[in-house]
Amino acid sequence: MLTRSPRSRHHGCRSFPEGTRLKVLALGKSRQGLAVVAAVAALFAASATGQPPEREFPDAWYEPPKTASEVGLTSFSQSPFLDGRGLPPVEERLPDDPVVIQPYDSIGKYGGKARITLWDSWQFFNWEHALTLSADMRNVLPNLAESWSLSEDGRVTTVKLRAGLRWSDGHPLTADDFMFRLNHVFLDPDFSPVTYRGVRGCEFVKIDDLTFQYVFPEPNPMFVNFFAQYGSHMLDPMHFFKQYHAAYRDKEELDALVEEEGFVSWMAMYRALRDWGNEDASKVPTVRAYKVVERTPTKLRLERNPYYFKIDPAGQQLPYIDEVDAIILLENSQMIAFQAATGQLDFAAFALKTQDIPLLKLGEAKGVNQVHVWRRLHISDVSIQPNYNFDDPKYRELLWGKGERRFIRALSHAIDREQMNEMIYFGRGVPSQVTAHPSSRWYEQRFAEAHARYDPDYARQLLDELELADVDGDGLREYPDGSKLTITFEFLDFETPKSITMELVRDYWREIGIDLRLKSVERRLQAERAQANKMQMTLWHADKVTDILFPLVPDWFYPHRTGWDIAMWNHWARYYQTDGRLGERPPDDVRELQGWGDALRMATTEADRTVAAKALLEAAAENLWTIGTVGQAPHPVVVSKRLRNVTPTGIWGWDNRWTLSYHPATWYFDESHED
Amino acid sequence: MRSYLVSRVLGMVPTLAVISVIIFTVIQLPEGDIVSSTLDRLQAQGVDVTEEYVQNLRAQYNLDKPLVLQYFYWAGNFLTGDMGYSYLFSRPVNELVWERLGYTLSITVSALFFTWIVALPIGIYSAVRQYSIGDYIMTSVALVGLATPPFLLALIFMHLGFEWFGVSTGGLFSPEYEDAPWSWGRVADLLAHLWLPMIIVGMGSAAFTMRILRANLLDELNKPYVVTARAKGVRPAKLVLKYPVRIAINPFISNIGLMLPGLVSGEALVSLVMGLPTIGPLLLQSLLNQDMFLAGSLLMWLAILTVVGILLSDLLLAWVDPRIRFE
Repeated sequence: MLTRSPRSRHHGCRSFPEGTRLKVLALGKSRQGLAVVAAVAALFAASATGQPPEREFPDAWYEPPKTASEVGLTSFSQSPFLDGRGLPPVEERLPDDPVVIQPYDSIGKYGGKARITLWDSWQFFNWEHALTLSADMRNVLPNLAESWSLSEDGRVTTVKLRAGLRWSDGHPLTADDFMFRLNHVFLDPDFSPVTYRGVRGCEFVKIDDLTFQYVFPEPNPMFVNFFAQYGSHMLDPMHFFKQYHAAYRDKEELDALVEEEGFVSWMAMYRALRDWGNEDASKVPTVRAYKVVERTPTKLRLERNPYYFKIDPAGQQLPYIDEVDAIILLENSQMIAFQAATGQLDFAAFALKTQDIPLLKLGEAKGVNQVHVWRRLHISDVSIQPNYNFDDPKYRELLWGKGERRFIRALSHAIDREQMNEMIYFGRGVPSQVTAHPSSRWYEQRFAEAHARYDPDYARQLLDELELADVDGDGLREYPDGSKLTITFEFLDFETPKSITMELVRDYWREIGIDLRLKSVERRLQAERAQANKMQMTLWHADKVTDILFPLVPDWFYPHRTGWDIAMWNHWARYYQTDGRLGERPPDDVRELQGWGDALRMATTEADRTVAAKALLEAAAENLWTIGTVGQAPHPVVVSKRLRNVTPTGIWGWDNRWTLSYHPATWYFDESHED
Repeated sequence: MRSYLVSRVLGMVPTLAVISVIIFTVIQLPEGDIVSSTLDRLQAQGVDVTEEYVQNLRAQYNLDKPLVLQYFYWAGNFLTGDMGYSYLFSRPVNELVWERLGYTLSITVSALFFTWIVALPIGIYSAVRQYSIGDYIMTSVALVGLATPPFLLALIFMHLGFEWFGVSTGGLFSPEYEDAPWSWGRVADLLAHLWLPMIIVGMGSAAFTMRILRANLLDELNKPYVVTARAKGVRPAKLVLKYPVRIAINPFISNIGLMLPGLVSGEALVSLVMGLPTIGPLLLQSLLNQDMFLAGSLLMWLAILTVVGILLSDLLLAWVDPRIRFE
């Protein structure tokens, strides 16, 4: 049984009321039960999610953006930077009804050249997606598109673009640009021999120049989330890229071009152009706020896109800042932290780390920069993944047994998350198990706190119950049969402070007699050993936990895929992916979980989705598929003294594309405070 | 002399050929290749990777051919001056190397001169004035220089620059000169930025050279011929420079060959820390990603530098020290 734990052994575990566990099983009895419990779930959702969190950003950032006609704006102005360039007047360059963006603090003024590193180019001037995300990461909002709809059966997503949008070279942006990307990049057999999960089986239907549909063979109601979050990959300027694409260009001509430009294939050339990877970057049209003027080995020079489609409430075409210099560094070197600390970069965040904050704050004390401390999105910076399918019967028995969870719970209770928070995060992180992000409508505090209490005595008691005793007197426990119990922990140390966290965990576990051997591996080894099911225990950071991505890729909550980031149940996931052809049949409880995963992905009503989401989260909290540590960690966002309108707080992560909903186009320079 | 030179140069050919085989093999040794590291990236973006996809990518990159063929393909092109294609950067290796070579050379060559200019006089001074205050100070500095890895020095200097002057010391140009065309101002700006990496990269080898010179010179200074010359009234400065230094300098010259590659690899770490646009970071990236052509070509150049350096130092030795005869 998945969640059985004899009552007598459960008394110490106060953090999680026992009754709730039964609910998971009751809800999950049968798939037919779904509709029946939907009504219950709606109630459940209303009471549990409570009030939306207090709004820290302008109200406009939570709603579909207004357009000029809606706010009564009729005259528009442009930056003096564009004067005298022989461009059409600004009214003609803007779309028919431009999008009005509310700045965070104040209406800005034009001018200036920003200095950043290339690492921050996705943050300082965002991609423009057809749909975007609300500032609370709960909803999808229109952006390039003015509206979208989902068919009753959840199979068809219809998108309608704004009229009069243009690429940075003045060419109109239409449905064809989306068609081109889907049919000739995602679905092109040369370009993508294997189709991205998000668009598998997708068919593009063009209704007119501005309206188009993505049609799926199965219900795919969450496609819109994918389309919004991954939106930068959903359109390419067809009029430009078709000259580099085999479907539109004579093969010999194209081959000659590839040869001349020094690429191995036209696909490589296409990718390099799209990523602004070589000198030709300046030719590539964009919808982003800035376009490339020049690319040198050390620098990417950009200037404002004269056709950018957003304006401020005063009718000024955005962005405010005229030019951007992005320094190209191969490594995210220590130099970035120093340059940020000395105020030489106007914006720096991507390459900075929690432990850089004291250094950066020194700069703030000297009055050369402003250091904002945002929160990283990860619900847990380190989430420990025991491998339930590891090729060692004794170890598997320990982790799973007959659904036995005491071993994992003991490990979790042995971790002093408060101390960890103090030591690594200056006490500014949030101890948490792996569950939904607090911004999520499905977040519940009890999920985050489940079995997270620091209680080594209780942990020892659980291990004693499992008859893991120290037989040879070395202070470390052995298996019940007396053989050595040693856990080899292989992990890739990047992005979050993983090494230092795991060193603490090793010490905590040693306290309760568990022998953990840490082994840091590099990227390739992580990928290979994870895929080959060779890792006894490993870790990753727990992102993809917001309302946007959790329903799409609930990676930590049921076995449905494998990868370098998830090595805990390869055989079960493979069984699920191949409908039982490969892998290993999971226990019934896990099969049930996979059923909930399907339900979450395909649910067409909010109520059904909530039932499934809660079931997955509840089961994760109860069973601790992964062990969480500390999350929502402080992340430094350093801006120069002159930069305005950057939000002092925010969520830093992939789910919300870092700054997508904080509108970097409204950032501007106020030089009056310069000395 | 000429036949010696010819035989040495001819001898370099098999050496380099063997080195190239070793380089190629070592890069291929770890499991995986550029395809698997590309896959990592794709997987991070949510692509399910299948066996067919892997095969397809391998074929695109010619990785499905036998290793021997891959080797000859690479080596053959290298000989004709085409270093191949970097899958990691989607660009020809030649371009990547050319745009960074100048910066690497300016740092390493200036570090080399820094080493000589600092190490020679100080080494001589601390040998001649053994156990003087000056000797102690120089020795301490040299030991610190020897014991501190360059990347740590870079970090320390950057911290000090920040603490004392409130400036960051990374990069090779000020913002206003970064893409300006070459001019005297730009050269001056480059020099203003170059001295720090130069000192950091050169410090270790300067300290090393200085210690060797001091030790060798101390051996020579007490030899009878020196005593005799001194007794006959040769001026002290002339005496030291003309006889013992010439002998003591031998190991120093024979080291030049090894110093060049040492400086280049020392430069790599310093550049990583300080964010300099040199070849070092390129090499690291290519090795991490098993970008065969880029990594192989860069390593091959390091090998060529070493071999040529050793030849140069042998020739220099023969020229400086008349006792050495060509066999």
